[in-house]
Amino acid sequence: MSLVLRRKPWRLPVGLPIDAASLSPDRLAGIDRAEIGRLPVLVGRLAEPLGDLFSIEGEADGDVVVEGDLAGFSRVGAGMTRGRLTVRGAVGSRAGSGMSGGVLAVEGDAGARAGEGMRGGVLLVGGSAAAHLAAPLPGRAGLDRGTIIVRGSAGPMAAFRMRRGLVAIGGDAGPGAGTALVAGSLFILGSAGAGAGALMRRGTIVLFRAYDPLPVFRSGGRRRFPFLSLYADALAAAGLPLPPGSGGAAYTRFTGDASGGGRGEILIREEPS
Amino acid sequence: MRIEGTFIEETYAEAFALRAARLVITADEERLARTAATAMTGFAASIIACGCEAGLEGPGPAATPDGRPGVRVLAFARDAAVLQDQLVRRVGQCVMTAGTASCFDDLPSAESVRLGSMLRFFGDGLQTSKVIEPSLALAGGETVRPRRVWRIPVMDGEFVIDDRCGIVRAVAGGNFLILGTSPRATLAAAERSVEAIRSIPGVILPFPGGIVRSGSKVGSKYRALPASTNSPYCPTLRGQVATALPDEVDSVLEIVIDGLTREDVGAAMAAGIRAACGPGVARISAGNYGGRLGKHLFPLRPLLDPAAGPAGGDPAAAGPGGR
Repeated sequence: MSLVLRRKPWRLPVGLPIDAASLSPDRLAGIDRAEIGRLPVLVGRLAEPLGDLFSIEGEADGDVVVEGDLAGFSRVGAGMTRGRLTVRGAVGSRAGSGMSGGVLAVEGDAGARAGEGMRGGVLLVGGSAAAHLAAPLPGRAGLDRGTIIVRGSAGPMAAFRMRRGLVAIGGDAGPGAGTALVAGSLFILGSAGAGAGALMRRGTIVLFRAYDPLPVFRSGGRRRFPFLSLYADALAAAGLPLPPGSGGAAYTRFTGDASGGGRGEILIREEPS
Repeated sequence: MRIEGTFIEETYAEAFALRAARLVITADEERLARTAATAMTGFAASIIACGCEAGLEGPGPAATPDGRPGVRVLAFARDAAVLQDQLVRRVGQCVMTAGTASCFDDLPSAESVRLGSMLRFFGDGLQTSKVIEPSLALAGGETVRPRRVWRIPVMDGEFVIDDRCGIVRAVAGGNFLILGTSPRATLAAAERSVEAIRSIPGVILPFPGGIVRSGSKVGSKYRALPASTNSPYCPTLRGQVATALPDEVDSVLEIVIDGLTREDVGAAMAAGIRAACGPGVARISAGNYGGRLGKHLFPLRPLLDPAAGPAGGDPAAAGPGGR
């Protein structure tokens, strides 16, 4: 049986930052409901007991469901290494920060810096993600293993300095997606904002709408890339199917950023406009 | 025991344990994939002189990793090191060179050998790898297989190949002998067998057309040779050496089967023998070494009629076959 947490009516001043790193299967596993209720949630500078903010039902078997709007809660699922945390609503900033395993499924929107510093695991966002999706922790590389799938759109600077792993965005992506990409794969099914892939060193950005890359990218012609079928199948199984025929379609390949070694690639399914 | 008038000897086939790999070779068209697979499995009849035994598996894959038409290949060798060496040589020379072809592992296993991770160096530093991470498999469920593939730039685009290739302990050398009353009838029976066995998954027939005419016995008068022609089964040597052939037999052909499991080989032997039996085929026998060399014994009669006896073989009841 899953552990189910339900938001209680708000009783604290609106606007205080709330650090909900305790909302993680790792922290909740193996302890009883009373102990869970005593776990601290940082509200402003005060540590409030989790039980004051949430009603608690069921048993912690590694599968945790949180019901309610957590848009004001930051770091939900931070540091996860295992299990599954499902949030039936939105989450605030830095959801899944530093997670290295398990599945964090957010059915609503995610705030800024979702999946920052991820080293593994899966972040699923049913709605949209704000700016700096998959951002790096200060002084570190970006996403370094792990999978982030956003069904909706993403704000500016998604996958900045990503090193390994996969980020897939079902809708549009803001400016600067894949900036300084080190490696890994970024799929954008909607429109991509300006400057995608700027300063990228290696890695792959796949676009499914017409796009005009920066002048530091050079066209390498148009052809099929059989490896894309592997991603098409995997993403379809994960609930984000690529447009029909994407696996076998022809893509224009741009290589660049020429100012950064030129070993990255942008694959564009549609002809550039 | 008789099937369609053909006598089934009370003997057994003796097979060996080898390591096996299964690959899927894809291309823009099936004929291109088949061309690559055929080239890759050429000169792979016997581990004695070819390094490995390999062939196209009959039933093709229902779906391929890159969604293109493809064929399955099985390869067998003595151990993991030899199998890796053979696969790298054969895939490198015969699949990477074939138009539009890609090569994927089709046998996920705890044990694996390097494949793309060796061939990637052909990319001269311009190769790239793509990884379907375990996390993506976690998101997508059991249908998503974690894997690393290499994209090696080639003159018609990219050669895509799995980084590693799973291997398993397998069974090689399942066999039976078709003793016919004429060369024509024996060959026809062998071809019926081959057709039947090619519908069985998990097995290959490594010899040309699936048929062996030069069955061997252990040893030779020449000390350098470990094996020599199976003289008791050569019809032209009747009266010259001790023969194993009844008077009415005028030709013998052998079917050799390698498979991923003992069950696969047994099923293929049974299907092949049933297809071979009929007019013009006097007997079905099998090759063995008295149970001294091979780990896997396949008594013929229990294969064809499970009620006839246990699946295990009794070497003492062996007929005079030898391969």
